[in-house]
Amino acid sequence: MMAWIEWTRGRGTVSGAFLDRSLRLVADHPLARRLAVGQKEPIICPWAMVKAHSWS
Amino acid sequence: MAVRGRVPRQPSQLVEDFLEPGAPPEGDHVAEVDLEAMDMSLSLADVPAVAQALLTWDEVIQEQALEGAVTDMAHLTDDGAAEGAVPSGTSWTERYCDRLVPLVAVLESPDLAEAVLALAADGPESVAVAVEALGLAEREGLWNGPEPEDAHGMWRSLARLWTDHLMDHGGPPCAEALVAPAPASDRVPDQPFEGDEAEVENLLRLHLRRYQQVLAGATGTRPRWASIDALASVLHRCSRSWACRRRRRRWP
Repeated sequence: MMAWIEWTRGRGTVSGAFLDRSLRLVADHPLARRLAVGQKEPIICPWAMVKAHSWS
Repeated sequence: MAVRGRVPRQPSQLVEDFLEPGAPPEGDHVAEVDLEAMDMSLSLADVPAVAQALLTWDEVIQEQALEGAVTDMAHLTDDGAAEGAVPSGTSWTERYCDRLVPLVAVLESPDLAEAVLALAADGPESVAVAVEALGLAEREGLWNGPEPEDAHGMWRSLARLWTDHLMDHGGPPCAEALVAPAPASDRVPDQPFEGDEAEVENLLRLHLRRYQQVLAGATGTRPRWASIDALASVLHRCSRSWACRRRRRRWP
């Protein structure tokens, strides 16, 4: 869940760190695996790409 | 990278900080909550129980967001105190003890954990409709993965299920029964209005689409950052309270 939150904040590296940790704890966690699939071809969260919508 | 006034931290360090155990909760309350949450064993298909549990999450997120705002305001005042602030000495688990079981039970299910993320980012309207519709679909075996070949038939069936669900819960069998307003976008273009059932179907599609857009961060509008931050804070507190049991747990 924190991986998704950090991704929406535009902090992809932190998101990846949460994801790695999550998958290390529970390798088959469905939510983490769904996010990990997206990480193979990393995309910036659309909210983070628009200043008015971004976390600040 | 230069960060004024503090040393920049590595992402892995941020994760460690997040997961750092807090003070152990009093008594064996956490263990009791664990057992009760496991007994509850929520899944999407438990439609009424899920709706109630998500409502609890929404309340807690909003309380936490308000508290965050109050804390921010308190920093601006001379005495640093503000109405609504949590009394010092009250632990998080004590404060939310009567709501911890549904909170934890929701986090045990990946589908529902995802719903909590959308709930924080977008509010309860579309999430409530989407989760109930997905739950009904799962319960009736209508939709268990990729959209089926007979997608139109599936949507029709889902609209009927939803209408029946509303009837069972005292609502009229028409589009107005959807308590939530439709998302801002227009009606689904390939589904012209054909009466109440078609209207329900259209609204279901819109709310489900909105739900997926929220999870993709692609709503085209600013999400509720105060609520997302509040959720992160709640998860942090949960993590600290449950850290001593983490080795045996599958979350957070």
